[in-house]
Amino acid sequence: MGIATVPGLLALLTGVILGVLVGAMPGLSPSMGVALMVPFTYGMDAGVALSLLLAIYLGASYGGSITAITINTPGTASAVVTAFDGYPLTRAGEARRALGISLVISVIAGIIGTLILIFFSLPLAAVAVRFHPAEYFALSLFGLATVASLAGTARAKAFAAAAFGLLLNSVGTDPISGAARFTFGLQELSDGFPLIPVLIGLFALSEVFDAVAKKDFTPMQAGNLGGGWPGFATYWKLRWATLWGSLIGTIVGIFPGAGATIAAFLAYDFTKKLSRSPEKFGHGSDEGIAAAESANSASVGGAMVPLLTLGIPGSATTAVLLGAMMIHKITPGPQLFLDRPAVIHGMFAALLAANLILLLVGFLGAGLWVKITLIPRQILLVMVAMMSILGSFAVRNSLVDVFFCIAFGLVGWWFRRASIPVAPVVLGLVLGGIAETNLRRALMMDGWAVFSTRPVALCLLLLAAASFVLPLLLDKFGKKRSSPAQ
Amino acid sequence: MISRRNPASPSLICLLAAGTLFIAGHNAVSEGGEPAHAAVPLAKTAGGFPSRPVRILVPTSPGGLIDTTARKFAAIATEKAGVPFIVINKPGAGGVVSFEETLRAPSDGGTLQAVTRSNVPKLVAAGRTDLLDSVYWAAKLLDDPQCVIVNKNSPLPNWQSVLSAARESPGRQLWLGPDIGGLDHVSAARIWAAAGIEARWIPYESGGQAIAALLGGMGATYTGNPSEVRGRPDLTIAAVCSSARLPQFPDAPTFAELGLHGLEEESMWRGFALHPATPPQILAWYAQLFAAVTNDARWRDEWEKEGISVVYVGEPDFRSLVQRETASFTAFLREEGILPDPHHPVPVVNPPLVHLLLGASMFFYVAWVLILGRRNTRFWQWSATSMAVFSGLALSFFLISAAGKLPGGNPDDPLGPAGIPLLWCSILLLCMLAMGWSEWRHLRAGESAAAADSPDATLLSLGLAGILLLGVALFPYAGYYLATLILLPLALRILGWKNFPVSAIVALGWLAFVFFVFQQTLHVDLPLGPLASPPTFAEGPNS
Repeated sequence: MGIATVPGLLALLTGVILGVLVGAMPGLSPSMGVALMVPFTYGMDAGVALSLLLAIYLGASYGGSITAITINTPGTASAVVTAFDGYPLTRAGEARRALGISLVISVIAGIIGTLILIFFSLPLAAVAVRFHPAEYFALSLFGLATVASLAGTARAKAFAAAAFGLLLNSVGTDPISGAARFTFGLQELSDGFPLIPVLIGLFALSEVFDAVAKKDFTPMQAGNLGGGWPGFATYWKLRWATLWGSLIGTIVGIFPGAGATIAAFLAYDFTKKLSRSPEKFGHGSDEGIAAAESANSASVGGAMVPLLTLGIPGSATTAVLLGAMMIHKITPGPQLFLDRPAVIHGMFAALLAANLILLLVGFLGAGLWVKITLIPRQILLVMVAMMSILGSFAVRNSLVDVFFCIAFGLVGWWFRRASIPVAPVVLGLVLGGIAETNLRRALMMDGWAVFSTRPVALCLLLLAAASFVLPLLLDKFGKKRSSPAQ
Repeated sequence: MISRRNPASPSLICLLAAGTLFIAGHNAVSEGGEPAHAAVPLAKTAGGFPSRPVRILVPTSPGGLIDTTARKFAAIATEKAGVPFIVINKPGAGGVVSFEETLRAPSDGGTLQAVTRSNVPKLVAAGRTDLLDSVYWAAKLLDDPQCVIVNKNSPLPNWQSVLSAARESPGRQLWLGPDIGGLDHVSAARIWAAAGIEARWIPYESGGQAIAALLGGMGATYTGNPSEVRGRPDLTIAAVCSSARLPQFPDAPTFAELGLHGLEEESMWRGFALHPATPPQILAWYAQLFAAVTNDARWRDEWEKEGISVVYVGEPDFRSLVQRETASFTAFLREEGILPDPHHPVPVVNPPLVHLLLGASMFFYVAWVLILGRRNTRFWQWSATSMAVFSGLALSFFLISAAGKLPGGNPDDPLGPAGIPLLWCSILLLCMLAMGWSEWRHLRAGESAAAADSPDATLLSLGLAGILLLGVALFPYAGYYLATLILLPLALRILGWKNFPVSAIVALGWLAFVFFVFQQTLHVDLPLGPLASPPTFAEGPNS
């Protein structure tokens, strides 16, 4: 399939570089990057073309973490989780540490995800299609329950923020009945609040407003270029976080429609619960970055499972990839494994090779990204604002989205001032729709009895309830024990 | 990125460009046996059209069938026309955003609207049949017949078994597909009517997810198009809506063979529309282009192998087809209760939301200046304000949901559109109670009575927000470049950056970056304002 040839390798290199740039630009999604390059691949050999596109996908999935870490601007919903700990590290003058961890862990998890794809894709796909809407609903509640661990001390505020996100999510056309909900007759609201502009506003613009309000114009690091690069010992300490993150990322990535965001949140939550120093999460924890990035990266391999084995795209990017494969006369599905195994093996090889190239490109790039922290703060803040405007426009070529972005920038700033966390809003926005449509679909199919007849759904629901209630109970009893000490 | 000021960046971009060119070039050479396709461009019109790139507006995000169609068309048309055809995705409101943009654009033939039959039910449901009436229906190019797909390994592996099972339990059989009121749902309902059965439509986010559910045995059938069984050996076509069997799927019976008539027109057509005031010379040029693409071997092969007919139907036949379908979709959506009563149409709000949002943001902004500009805002005041806002939001959404403004549940969908929002509102209100309780306890304990971080530059921040809002409001009039040229140095100035030459360099550098990367390479459709060259084609009565 031409991976080990000069054009094959060059395609991978080009794809990875383009992907990282696309991912690093808020508002440009991996799906957009792949779609934009599809026309350039018409003249190419199918293997080279797919290598290029897969490399973009992989590069873009990693690229989102760069801006999340350096300027608190996650380009994608899944990079939000990376920002939790990555940005605090940058503020603490350790940008190199955060960038190094995110890159190396991304690559390792990407390889783990690809290996799982190579060895287990067919059985995993068989399990994925048997997932009933009731089980999807339970999975999304499981994801929502992570809010309990994002909360920190002020639980009521975190839950309120999540409920706010859920409520925002219900604005727009009802996905099941087609009725317009809370749109007040405005056509611009008929698709609901656009996720990426809202995200950019909540994280990036609110940070700008906050810094300006505090007149915090000292550069993030004077002279000192973001600490040192982490060494092998650092990565070795993160092995369990990475492994769990990769497994969760791959497995959750397999379910069409669920994707990288749930995976990142779940992995973060899980790692925090296992961690020996959970109190560092949210304040620059290495494990936090590793969990988020490994889940995010490994979900690429997971998302490829339904695409290759069933021809079913689980995300926007895989939908574009499917279109590109059709253009190159490759019809994914079980038949492809039997008839043209060389195509499949070529794609596996491309994914593995692209991960290694990402390591190379990433290290060269990381040297550049840390220099962002040297830019005079006023200029940096204004540039972040400019990028937020441009990025939120580019998502749908829509000016209304820019207003949403600025409005949510103000909302995010208000949240910061009232010390309400913004991350749960994202959780609500992303998971609210999945929870609602799947619950209603399950009820349409089998009625309320569905939860008693499907043990997997019931188990997942009980797990979700446990992960929701246990931290509350632990907190309560923990407090009682520790209160005399205070 | 910010790093554009780094000397390494230009070389990086050059490397990328070189890499892409090398790959493309290498492959052009390696496929050397095949000569370049007859690249004799179409003659330009007397007025010199086309002289600039043509935009193809796609009403969905990248990845859908209509997007793929537009991109394939763009590749071939670029070659035939000698100017680039650029695909721009304008998703939103089921096509309303894209159609409106086409009608707003100059009628110089520079904007081509990609259309698919799915737009008809979507625009009907949105109450915007005016958009369907106003565009020029230039060309229907593809006809993809609808079909019913079943799982070979299920208890219902063919049409007869589906039919008898549906008769045994009327209204209980599950038909999977994309959204309610969409094209596939309408086709399914027509099939039910023709067969005299009742079934239940289970909507999924996309056709692909519905297919996954069919593979997992979640329902009886999937309604879609024949090419969707390709590469999926577990699936088979139970029956197809075409007048004769498809040569690519010879084993799939037509509905007519099975005794169901009147379904032959059920197809997912795709094509293009233009601005209604496009000059006749340009329309004639497009007619040549569509004919040329239709006759192109690559175009035909690409689609015919999928069982899709390559056709070319222009005005007025295409228009009358759309008009017939508008009427029938309207009737169907009323029957399903998706369209409101015709005697009480939903008012279309004018002016558009941009202005309204601007007004609202300004209000928000002024209110903030008044409330928060004061120093030493105490922490509990922040919390109290937050609680007031959250509770107000939850209460108003609760009232809207509960007051029957939203349709209620029904036996098929017990929760209905209002059920889940009511739940979210209740959770938010509960959280407010908890938050109030904990704040009150803290206040009594004297923990947060102290002033919050009381930053003294709140007004500066609000000023920056105001400048951003004003700048963005200027975009439609001054264009992105001019507005940013004012906005950026102004924003820097109010942050206290006094080095004006550096501001100017930053602004110009940023604009150059945006122009080359976003506009020229990524084709982001930035508003240009007066910088956009006015329509230059001196032909026809309209210019």
